[in-house]
Amino acid sequence: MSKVLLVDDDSLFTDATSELIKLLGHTVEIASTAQDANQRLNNEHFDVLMLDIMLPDGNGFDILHNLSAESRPPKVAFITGHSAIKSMVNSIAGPGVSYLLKPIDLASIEALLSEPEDATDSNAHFGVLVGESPVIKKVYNYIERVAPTRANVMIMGESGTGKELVAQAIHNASKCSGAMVAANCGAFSPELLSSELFGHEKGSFTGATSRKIGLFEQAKGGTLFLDEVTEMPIDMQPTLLRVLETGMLRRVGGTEDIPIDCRVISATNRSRDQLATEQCLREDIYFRLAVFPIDLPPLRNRGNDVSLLADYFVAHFNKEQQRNIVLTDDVKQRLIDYNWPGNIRELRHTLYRAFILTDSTTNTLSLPQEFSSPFAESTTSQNALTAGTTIQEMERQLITVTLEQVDGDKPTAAKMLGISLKTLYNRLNQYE
Amino acid sequence: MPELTQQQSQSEFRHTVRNHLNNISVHAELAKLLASKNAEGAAQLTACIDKILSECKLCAQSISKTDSN
Repeated sequence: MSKVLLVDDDSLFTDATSELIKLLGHTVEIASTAQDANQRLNNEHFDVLMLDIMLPDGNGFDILHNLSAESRPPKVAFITGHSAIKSMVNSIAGPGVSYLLKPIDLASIEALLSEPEDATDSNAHFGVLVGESPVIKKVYNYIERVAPTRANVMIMGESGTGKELVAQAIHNASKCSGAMVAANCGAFSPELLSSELFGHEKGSFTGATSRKIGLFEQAKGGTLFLDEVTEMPIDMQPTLLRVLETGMLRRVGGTEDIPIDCRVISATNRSRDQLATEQCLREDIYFRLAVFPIDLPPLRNRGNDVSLLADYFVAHFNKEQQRNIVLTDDVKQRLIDYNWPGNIRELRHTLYRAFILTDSTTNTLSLPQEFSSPFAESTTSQNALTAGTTIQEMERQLITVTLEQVDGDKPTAAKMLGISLKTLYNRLNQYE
Repeated sequence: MPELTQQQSQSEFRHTVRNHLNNISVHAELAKLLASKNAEGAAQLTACIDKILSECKLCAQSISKTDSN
């Protein structure tokens, strides 16, 4: 989301354009004079500045000149009726400044506001994902393969592993025309969830004072992301199954069947075993939603990605807080050594806290003596020893996890496990 | 549209018309976006607004051709 300052003395234009910008999910303020614009720019930071050249008390170039002292200058676009102004803008203001040609259309505003804010994001895979470990590269490969198709995807992974970002990555890579719309299936009562997903007609129930377009319809031409899909009430699942099977939905209280046109990406933090044993998701709906399942690895299996993610987050905090904090190799090693039961969410939380606590006189991030989440014990116990598990079973799990971490590289896995390659092959043969 | 006097230069005239076209354009875009959020009958309305937007652009292009004159 960008914070925009729109500077123009034509209130008809600024009223409509500010509404457009808000509908696109950004915040906007309006200034009708150069003086007003300068005051606002002195008092607060804006990400984007849309500037009319001719203003009642000056011109847009004067405002641009006053910006040069800012450490984080906003992205600037001049509003002009002349395409020839581009070369003039470039010669006066430099190549980093763009322009919006009248009559301005939605696409040009969207393009201006959706450009990556900095190099940090453009370095991320699919614009949102960070990491180079073998296990995450496998996920990138899956994303590339599934993106051009219309297959429904189910993302499975522990809490905090970034399932919604993977959904966003698939959406970005698919280059579809519609938006990605997200819903948390665990956040609504069954009645409300039906209304959220499928919409309702006016008067269909008490409080339905107007027609509501559901998320399936809002995601037309794009992606519907169903987070925590296994929390969806079991008696509501047949309705969702019918929609997925027929490609048609009926709004609550409606009589008309409406075609749907979106890919459904769902996510759950339950394992495949839990899906089967806890019966939180009907088998038939699983096969509809998980046409292409993706297992997202926990952070503890991603090796040096911890360091890359830490750099990414600290760069983001530095930009946000206008500081220049760096991570030393010792700090990175401590981060890598911890097992992060809360995954990337916990890493970000820990770094942010440390960033806030870092003394302003030093530029080095200092970590607390201990960083453990209150959930660490319960989460790790799920992955650690459980009474009643056989030694053979523990050995099998250990070998499986190690092989996953090294992307199936058996010599490396054998070395990590402290066994010979021959022994590893023998064990794998036994498991088959 | 404000009445234009003979004293106004062609340049001022083009500037004024461009601003009106721009206001038509952004209001049409706003209407289109609002319509798309309420699917009922939106396709027809969107097609109609697309025509307005297209005409705006053609009009602006025609004015631009006179810039060099």
